[in-house]
Amino acid sequence: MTDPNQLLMQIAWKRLWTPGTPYYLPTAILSGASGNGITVDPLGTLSIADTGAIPLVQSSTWGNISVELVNAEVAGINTLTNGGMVYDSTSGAFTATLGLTAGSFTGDYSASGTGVAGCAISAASTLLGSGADAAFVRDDDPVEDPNLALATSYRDQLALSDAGLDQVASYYNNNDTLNEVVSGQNGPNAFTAAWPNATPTGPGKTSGYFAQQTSTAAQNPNDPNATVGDTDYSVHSFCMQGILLKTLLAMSTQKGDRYDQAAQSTLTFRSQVQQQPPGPTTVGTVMTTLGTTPPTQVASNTLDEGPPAATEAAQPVDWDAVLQQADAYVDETYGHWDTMATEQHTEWTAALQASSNSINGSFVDNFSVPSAKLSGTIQVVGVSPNTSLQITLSSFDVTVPRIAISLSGSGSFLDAVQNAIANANWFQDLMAKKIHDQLNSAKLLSWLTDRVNQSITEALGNFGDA
Amino acid sequence: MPSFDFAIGLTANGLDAVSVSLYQQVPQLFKGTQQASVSGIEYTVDWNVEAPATFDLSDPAGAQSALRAHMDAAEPPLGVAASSTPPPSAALLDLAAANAAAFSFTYQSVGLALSAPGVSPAGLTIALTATAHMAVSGTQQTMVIDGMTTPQQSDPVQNWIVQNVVLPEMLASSQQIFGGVTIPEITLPGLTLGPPVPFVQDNTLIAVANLATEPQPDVPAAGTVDWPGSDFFTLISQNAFQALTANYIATSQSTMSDSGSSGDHWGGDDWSYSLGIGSPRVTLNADASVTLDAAVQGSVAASIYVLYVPIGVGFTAYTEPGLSAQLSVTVEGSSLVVKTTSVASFVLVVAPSGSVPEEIVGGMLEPIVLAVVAAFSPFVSSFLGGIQFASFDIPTYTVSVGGVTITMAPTNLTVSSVDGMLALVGGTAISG
Repeated sequence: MTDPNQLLMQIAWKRLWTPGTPYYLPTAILSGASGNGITVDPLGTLSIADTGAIPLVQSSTWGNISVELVNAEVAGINTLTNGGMVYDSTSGAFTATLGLTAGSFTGDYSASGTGVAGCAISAASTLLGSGADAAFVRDDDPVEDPNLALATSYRDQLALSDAGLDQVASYYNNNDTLNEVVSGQNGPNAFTAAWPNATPTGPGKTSGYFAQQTSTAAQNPNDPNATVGDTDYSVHSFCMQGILLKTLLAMSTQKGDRYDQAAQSTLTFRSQVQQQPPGPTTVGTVMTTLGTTPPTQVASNTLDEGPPAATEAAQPVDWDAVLQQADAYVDETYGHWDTMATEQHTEWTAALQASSNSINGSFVDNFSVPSAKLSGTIQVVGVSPNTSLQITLSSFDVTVPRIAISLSGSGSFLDAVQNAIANANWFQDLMAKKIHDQLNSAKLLSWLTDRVNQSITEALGNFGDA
Repeated sequence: MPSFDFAIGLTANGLDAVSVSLYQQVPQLFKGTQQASVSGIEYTVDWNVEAPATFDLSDPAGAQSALRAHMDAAEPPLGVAASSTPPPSAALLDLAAANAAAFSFTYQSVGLALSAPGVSPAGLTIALTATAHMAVSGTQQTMVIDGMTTPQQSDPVQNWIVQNVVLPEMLASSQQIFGGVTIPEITLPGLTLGPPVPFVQDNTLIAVANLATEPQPDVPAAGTVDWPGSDFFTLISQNAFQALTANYIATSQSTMSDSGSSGDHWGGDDWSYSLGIGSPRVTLNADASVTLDAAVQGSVAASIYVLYVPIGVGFTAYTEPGLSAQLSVTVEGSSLVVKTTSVASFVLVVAPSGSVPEEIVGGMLEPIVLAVVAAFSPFVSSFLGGIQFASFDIPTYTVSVGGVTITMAPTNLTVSSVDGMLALVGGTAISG
């Protein structure tokens, strides 16, 4: 059916893309224009509010890395391209297809790293005192440390069984709190003082000593000569568990808070360790027990039928004696470790300040949008005979690609920040969302609405018969 | 040279072929029966379109005038003009009609049989002329049937029946038949075209478009473009062909890089290069071949070590003469394919730039230069010699009417040059 308005709107729309008119969008957006008795101001800046510090990643090298973007703006709107318009005369709906060939997102940034931190597994590895290399283990690349890779492998294997998953889940449920205490990220504590130094079972038998024993056993899970769980091993384990328990309880300010919950989880470890074969055992046997028996049945086996028979020649552990020795050691030495931690705190504070980093500069990312929908409605307005067509643009349906900004500057800390951004899809999506919001901002839609209406007025004037 | 990047044209013959096919495939839409009451007498009106419609693209101004008249005759509201608001002013309707790609088609022979109780049966044959235009929606074009006329009949009863019964029925039928004719968006690989601008010129229905990054084109003034006279044609500008070629090079493996070292820091070097083929410039030749000129782009750098002292050396890489290849454009299947036919010989020159001590130039840099030349020179020859890409997928058009789909495909296509543009001309083949 003949629709003169469809033809007329095509004429008005084409004016927006005709150089030399005040409405020619690529020029008017950037520089404004004047002609035909009107003056058009340029679109101006599409500014994005300062983001505040956005945490990106925890790095055992740099601590908590965060980045803040300021003075950010979206530019390049003058590279809009015309993909045509559709006008539905029945509903008055107007839809135009636009492209954006060279959009840009620019501004200034500041990034900071708080200093050393880390998750519980890697922090524990660091605390084992295995030297300078361990201090540079990166959480985001744990395979750099073979012990961590092994731990990760066994974690994944544990998670395949219900009992193992129960332990892994318990660990991760309290990971943040355990991480805080074990890593000492908020400062040395009694546990971090005791862990590398305590020798409850004799000179030289530190946590590192037993960790090496564990590592050897884990690498040879079915070797009867590579076992864990003899009496010394068990005493040391329960001593460390006891000191960790007391450290957590000292941090707890009320029952049920996260320190209290983490403390309870260490008690779960205690009960489950007691359910293991009572004596030196291969890691393979431990994994088999956990993997084939649900937690409740493990307890039932222990109480009613006894543990699975160990295949190794075991020296049975006297659990009562072990616990008694461990509890006595904890009671006797906890104050010592706590005092040592207090003394370490001043040194730690200075070290943290020395290891913190900050950098600032400018950032940029260029992006393009092949096709976006600009939508609105067209109405006849005014009082007859002085009526005219008027458009109201309501949305710009644009899909902005992920924005992985490039930061100016150089150095290993900048590389870490840049790498964190490159691997943080959520951050890239967040930036895309901020750009999307600007492209849908009232400022842009209002500016475009004015231009289209000016073009309609110039091309069509009054709508009805005068 | 024309001021558009792409044109597609279809003559009346091409449209007539579609019309013939529709007439054969959906005959039920070309005949009918209707009741009409005239002066208290109930007439039965049978009509039968005895020949397919023929299109007339020879008088666009006349068709625009007819379209304008149909706008006046149309019942308001028009478009968004609700009953409480006026329709577009007469001046705006003039503007709308004057900018429409209007044309007409005619049913030359429509047989009518009129019968009523107590009245002698009457038969007559009339001609019906419809006015149509191409409407643009987004980047598509759709045929819109605006109205239909027929000469006045001398018999007042017959005239009343023809004007008030037959014409509306045939208009509705034509809208159903030809309203399904849609020209889809034209696509060029890697490029985006802006909305088309349709018009009628030189007995041809034409649409022109620019790359989306360019302003929308105006309708070329009559006589400024030597449109091909074939039933179907497309024209591609040098600007568009340039963009197609640049896109091909940018998206192909047109760069290479390498690095190496020799000796040690007592006396040795580190070197690297990243070179590619860039700055393509396309010239469409009168024989419809294409000349591609390009240049070497990129960097070559080295650090020369003498007793642990590094001396940075930059290089300039270029060819003498510049890179040049001849390309052919041929129709292969449903694609317009661009291929290399020859590559002009060249010499790749890699020369140190800036101030470099002669003894270094003579001694330590020569192996670096030779290594770069030995690797990149054959790469350039191979790339230019192996250019092959589809520049344009030749479209087919479909019309779906009454459950029947008819396909119109360009056929017997040849490549030529028209007004400095690459022309693809041929006929049309209908299937369905």
